[in-house]
Amino acid sequence: MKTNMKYSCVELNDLPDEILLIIFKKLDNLEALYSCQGINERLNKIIYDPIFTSRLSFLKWSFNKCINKFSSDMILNKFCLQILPKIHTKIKWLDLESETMKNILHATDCPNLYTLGLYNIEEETAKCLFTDERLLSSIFKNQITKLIISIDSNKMELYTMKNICNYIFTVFINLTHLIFHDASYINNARLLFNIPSSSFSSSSLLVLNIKVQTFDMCLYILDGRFDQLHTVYIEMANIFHPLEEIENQRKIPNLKCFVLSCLMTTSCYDELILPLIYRMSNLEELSLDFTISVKETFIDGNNLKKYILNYMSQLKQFTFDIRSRMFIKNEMNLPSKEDIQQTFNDFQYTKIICCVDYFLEPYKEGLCHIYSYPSLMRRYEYITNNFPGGLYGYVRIVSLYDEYPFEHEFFIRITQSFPFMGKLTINNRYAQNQKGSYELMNDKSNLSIAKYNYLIELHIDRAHDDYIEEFLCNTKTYFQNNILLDVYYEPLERVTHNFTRDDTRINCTKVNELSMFGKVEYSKSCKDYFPFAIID
Amino acid sequence: MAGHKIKLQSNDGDIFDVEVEIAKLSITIKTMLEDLSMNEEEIIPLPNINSAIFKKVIQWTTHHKDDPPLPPEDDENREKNTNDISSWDQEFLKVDQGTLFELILAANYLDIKGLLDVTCTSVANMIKGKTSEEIRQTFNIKNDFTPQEEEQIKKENEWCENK
Repeated sequence: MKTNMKYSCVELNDLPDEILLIIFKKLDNLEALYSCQGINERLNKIIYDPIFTSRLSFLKWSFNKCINKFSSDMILNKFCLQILPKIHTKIKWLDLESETMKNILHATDCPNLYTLGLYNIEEETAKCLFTDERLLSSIFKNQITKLIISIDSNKMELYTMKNICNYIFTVFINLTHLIFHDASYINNARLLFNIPSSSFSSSSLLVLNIKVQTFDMCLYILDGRFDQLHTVYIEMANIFHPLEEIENQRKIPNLKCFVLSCLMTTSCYDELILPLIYRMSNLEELSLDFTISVKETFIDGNNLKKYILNYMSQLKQFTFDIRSRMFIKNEMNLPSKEDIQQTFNDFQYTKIICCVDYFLEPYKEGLCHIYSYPSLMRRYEYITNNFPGGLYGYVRIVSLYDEYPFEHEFFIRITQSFPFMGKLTINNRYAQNQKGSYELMNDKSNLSIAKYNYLIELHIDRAHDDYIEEFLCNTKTYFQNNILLDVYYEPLERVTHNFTRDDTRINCTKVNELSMFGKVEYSKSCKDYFPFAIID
Repeated sequence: MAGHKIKLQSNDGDIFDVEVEIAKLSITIKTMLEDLSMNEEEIIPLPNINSAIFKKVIQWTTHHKDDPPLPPEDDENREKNTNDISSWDQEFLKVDQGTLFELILAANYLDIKGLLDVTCTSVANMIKGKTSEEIRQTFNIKNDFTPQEEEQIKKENEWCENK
């Protein structure tokens, strides 16, 4: 429809303040300040509104990495010399990247700054920043109550977290919130020490979010040195019995919210996890996420009621994601999914989902997965064809395992349930039954392509050829560029018809790191087939 | 009721027959029809909108009549993605600045969130990355700082560039 428009003389400056606010709110705060500050009195007044000036983030996210928002020194100088000094009293929250954090903090005094986000920080930068006399005596000691730290995983050593923590608790004496933030799921910094230093304590800290290596660290954190803590999020790499004797009896009455997760399978549920929870007599929110090795029975609703809920009289919210694994000695009386589900019938919390699988290889094992839904879980592993579906927006790591084939339809369900998965591992040695029918279907429509929009790691080194084909055929699978691919050489050679096949070529060009196992031949045809990949 | 039309009159006297369902994308018109119990036979005046702009508004609402409702705005977690203007909207918004601003005013008056959103995003894209001097030139904004203030700003700018 063509419209004859007369020349209109309305200008930007004629728009009412409420509309200029809507327009500026479409921009990031720093973009709005950079472009609109210093134009005229009216725009200055709008742009100095707390909505644009109270929180400033000098970083942006790119593929799970945080980088400086502005690459140009001129723009940064404009902020340091011109903009920040004019809004310094309004700034309450700064998010800074390691390269520029010192310059920005030195640019002006921010008397109302109380939250500081320091991203990509490494030990040396932390040391240099936290011992800076000017910042130490003004901002750090007196003002900052909330600190968000993201440690550079590329420059991390065994005790980096310990050293950074010691600096933090020495310097930030008014800290109430300490959040260790990890954008990526790879190489997360974890706290580890033999004996905590005397500075590892705080009488002001209320909220702590931290990743630690062992259960010992958790016991030390909760031994009374942080006696005001009311909220703790702790992720452990593993849970073993402590080697040293660590305080584990003292009640923790101030703790209201406790979120515990553990990456590795543990067998210390009864001996370590339950006694720890029993110390938290006033707990109102509890979240548990771990895999337990059990001997006789799976962890089910009855177990949770008997050993957790009955002890926690103040509990208002209980969420969990618990897998129990059991070696099968006697195949009689193994509970079904329905049996487990039934134990949650009178559960007063959110919806509970149960999955029960029994495997024969490499040894007879049962796996029972129970979780509250909706779920905040970050990883979902050992998914079989019994996967119950649902939407898991926080899951980044997915692994698939079964002794029955995964058909193409299953992969479509997986992509729909885990839209943000970054790492996917497939462990299935059984050929697909319906491979041919999908090829026919895909000729006609692209509706049945499985789309992995955020995938960056794909491990198909323990999978039948059909799954290699499933992922490399661009008529079946779509993923973005820059994928890391783990695969055995021989099946890769077979599936790609000795690196000549056309419909697997497009996806192979998206691989930027190729890890091959087995009898590898670094032929020219292979290199040409993966033109953008570093091959090792 | 699909196909049922109402009459809307722009401020320069033109009368438009518009399908009720399309007109109701404007919360202002919807309120007039539903809450104020205006008779659908009556001509509804739109005193703040001229016919050229109203034609554009109808063009936009007709194209977007089946869009799902927009989520409510959240200031804390507001999305800063200003690139997500559909290709149809990009083509629709290839107009002079004055028309764009009049469309914004019309969308605001008629309370059509989607149109207000996309037109404001379009202006935000014009602002993005420009220096304050470039903004003044782009949008013909007069500088109303005192000479002393201006001198100070100039000096600061020089420092930034020479640092």
